[in-house]
Amino acid sequence: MVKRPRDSGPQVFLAVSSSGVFGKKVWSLAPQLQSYDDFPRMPCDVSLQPNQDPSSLSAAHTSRVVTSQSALSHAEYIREIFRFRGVFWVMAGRDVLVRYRYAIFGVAWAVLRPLCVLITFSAIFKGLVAREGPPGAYTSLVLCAAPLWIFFSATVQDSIGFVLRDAGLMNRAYFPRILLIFSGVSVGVVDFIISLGLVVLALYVSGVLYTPHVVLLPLAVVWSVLLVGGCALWVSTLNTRYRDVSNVVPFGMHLLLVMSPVGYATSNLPAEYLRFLALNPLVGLLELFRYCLLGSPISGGASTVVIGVLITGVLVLTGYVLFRRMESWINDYA
Amino acid sequence: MIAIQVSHVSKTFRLYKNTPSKVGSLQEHVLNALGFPPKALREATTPLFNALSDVSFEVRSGEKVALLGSNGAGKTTLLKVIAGITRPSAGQVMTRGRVVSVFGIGSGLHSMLTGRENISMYGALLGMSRAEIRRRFDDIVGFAGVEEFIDVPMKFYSSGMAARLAFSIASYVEADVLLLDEITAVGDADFQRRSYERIKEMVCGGRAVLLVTHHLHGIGELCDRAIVLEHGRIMNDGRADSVVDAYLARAARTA
Repeated sequence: MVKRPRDSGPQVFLAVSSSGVFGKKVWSLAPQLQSYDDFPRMPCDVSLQPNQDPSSLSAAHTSRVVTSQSALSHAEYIREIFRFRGVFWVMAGRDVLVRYRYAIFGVAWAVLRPLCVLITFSAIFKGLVAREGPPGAYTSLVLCAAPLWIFFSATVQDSIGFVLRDAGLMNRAYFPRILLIFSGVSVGVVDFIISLGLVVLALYVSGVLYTPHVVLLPLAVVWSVLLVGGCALWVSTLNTRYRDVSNVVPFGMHLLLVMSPVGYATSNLPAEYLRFLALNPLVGLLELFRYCLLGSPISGGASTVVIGVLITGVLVLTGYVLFRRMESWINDYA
Repeated sequence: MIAIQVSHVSKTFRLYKNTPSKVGSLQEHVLNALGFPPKALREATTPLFNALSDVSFEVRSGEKVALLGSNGAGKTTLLKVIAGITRPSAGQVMTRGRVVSVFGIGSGLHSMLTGRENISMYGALLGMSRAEIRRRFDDIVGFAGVEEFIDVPMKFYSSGMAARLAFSIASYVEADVLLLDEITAVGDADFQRRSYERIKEMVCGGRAVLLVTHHLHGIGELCDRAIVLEHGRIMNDGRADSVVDAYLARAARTA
């Protein structure tokens, strides 16, 4: 039998105990082990020791305690996410690669999809909706909305599988599971930014871009990412537990397409109808995109935007809380 | 120095065998919220399964422990709890240092990515830094014997090649706590021999190793201690050779 080195002195564990298990004598059959009654307590799952190299993504030199519930505070969880950023980058890179590698058109799909939306709407609605107004007005109206709509609908539909499809990875290593959602959304973000950039270019070339407002565009992009992220958190988490969600989402998308001004302008809608419609954060967001790119006034004024931002914030926060509550058992259902 | 401390760990799953088919669905929850079926009936008809019940033990760094037990005894569940992959229903696990777990090889790799990309991804997932992956890259590829195919998507690999690559990646991760789940049963005879040698190398040194295996012959050589799990409880814990003898004797008696 291999000789084991005995401890040279008292070991200090940076360990955690929310349930006080360390306070009891630990039962063990190995006769030479002493019981560890006096561990100092720290309120977190993963505690970094001072010699931790911050640049390394590895969890080297850390003590980790696993209990039935995550004991990480929100700030610690965010730090944990940051610590595992290496895992995020490889997963996001993987998702982007896989998406385009076997497609004949590759990244060109980022351009082709908005074009498809444009053609669809132009063919169907142009005659109905936009008889009045200058020529090309309807085209630019739809062009401003297409990148966001594709980003939103494609990513939220994909998010049905963000957790489930990587059950294999989840069963192989520990990482904050929320990274699965981050990496899934980030693929859509890449698409979104490429196609939005091209739309801006197209509008500029055709001379309809309203340049003074373009500086606000990054704000609209951040809002879009938050909105999609919040919805993705809800959809992917709930779908892990209740597969019903995967049936509801496609239907919800049809409904949202009608209830969002993707193929029409809000300017000729009755005010009381608009107030109801503005509860859909996509309305304020689409209005903001048109405000940024075309300089068209936001129907319903700032309140449309404020309501949209507030609802987005609620979605993101509740989605995050939901995810954290479900994360402790998400692995058992995936 | 204690590397793994498992204190009163239990893991309970709900078994749904007697309940209607729509288990865990929204429908079930809505009905339950309305009090149908009654709570007492519900609990009586959804028995609990204790994959682990009140398991406690400690592993010191440098100690090599074999985990034995029949299928369904809770070995893999225990490794998953220690790895932080799944949470215990009660009790707690403390580990010290970098924990690397290698589970039933294969599906951690992505079939659409090349071998090279998979090495980066799986390595990062197991906690290797980029520099570490770069440094170990040639070793990993060499040991797996997939030099020719390293830039080919994994879906064109044979299952043996994929398993070899996964094992190879995992075997080059530097870990303080190494959890191995039946990884010796991979690849052809030659690779099995080499991977056994590799595990012997990995097991050397100051790291703590917890190894699930059904190959009882090699255990005395790899491990100095063995734990037997049965129905989620520790039945035996002690020196590897004597525990294995007792385990085999018991298996012979019950057969």
